Amino acid sequence: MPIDPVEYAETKRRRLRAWRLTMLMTAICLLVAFGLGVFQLQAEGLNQFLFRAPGVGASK
Amino acid sequence: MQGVTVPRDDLEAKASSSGRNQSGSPATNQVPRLTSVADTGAKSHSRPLATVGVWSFRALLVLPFVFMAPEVISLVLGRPNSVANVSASTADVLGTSSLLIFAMMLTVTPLHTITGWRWHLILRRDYGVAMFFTAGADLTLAALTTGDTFTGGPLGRIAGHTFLVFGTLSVFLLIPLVLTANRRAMGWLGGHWKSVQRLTYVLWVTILIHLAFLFGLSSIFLEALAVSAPLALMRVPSVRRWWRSARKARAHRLIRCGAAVVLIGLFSVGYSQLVGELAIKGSAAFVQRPPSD
Repeated sequence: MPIDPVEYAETKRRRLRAWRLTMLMTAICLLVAFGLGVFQLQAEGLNQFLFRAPGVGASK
Repeated sequence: MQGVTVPRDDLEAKASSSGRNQSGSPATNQVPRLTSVADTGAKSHSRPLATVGVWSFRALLVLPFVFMAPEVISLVLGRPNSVANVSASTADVLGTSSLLIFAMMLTVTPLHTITGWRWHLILRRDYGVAMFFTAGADLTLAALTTGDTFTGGPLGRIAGHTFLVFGTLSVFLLIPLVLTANRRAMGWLGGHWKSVQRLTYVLWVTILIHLAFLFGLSSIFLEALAVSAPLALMRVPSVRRWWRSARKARAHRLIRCGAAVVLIGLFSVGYSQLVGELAIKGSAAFVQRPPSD
């Protein structure tokens, strides 16, 4: 069956838009996680941020 | 590699039926993938067994929630010590479970490469989605209950340390993976779907960084490395191609057998330690006597 070039171009554009939207969502997720980390680093200080006492975060 | 994925058959079927290949370009001289008579016979013969196998593996996914249920119910009912109990258990039970589920999800493709089995491919998506819920529950419970160990309120409990940032980041990375782990998203994204699912590699790295910050060069981090090494090796394109062609040609049987024993052995060493850890911490959580810090 022949493929309609207009439909093909439209599908391609739609898929690219969907991919961009997904990547934007991923970038937002990354930024939020790292943003929270930077915010906490400023609030708590480097030592508190880097090191954990035994039992903190996991029982080992 | 695909992570939280729908089996490739579905993708190929969809691409073929819509008259386009996976990259979204018009299908030219595309031959639909045909199943041989022998395959069909084997499939129909082993289908009940495959269904039992798939559902047995799916049933395992409720275990983390079963382990945590008594403590979470106590938390909801506001019983004494319930917050401290959940705080002590959530990372050990739900965190370790998430890692185990992730490892199982990553095992699906190498197992297919080694054995040629297809019955288990559906588990890749199931385990990915289950990992999202397990890790999401871990993050939520940690944000709610770990005030005794972390300062700075709920935000401090999910991002107050390096290991927390990478744990939270890992859960957040699961969001696009899970949202696109369905046929509608595959049709929606076309050839880009695979590149989105490759975020699983990034997730793999962030999980290992999370564990490295949490445990250093010891215990669970080393076990995670032992589990990861064979899975990563089997994803090297040249190794995968060689193994697949050797299997189809029924060649190099001794080498393949020896390599499989080594790889499965290494994987089992790490995985069994993690399972042991979950069994101890999970059963302690179930009877609401988590290890004291």
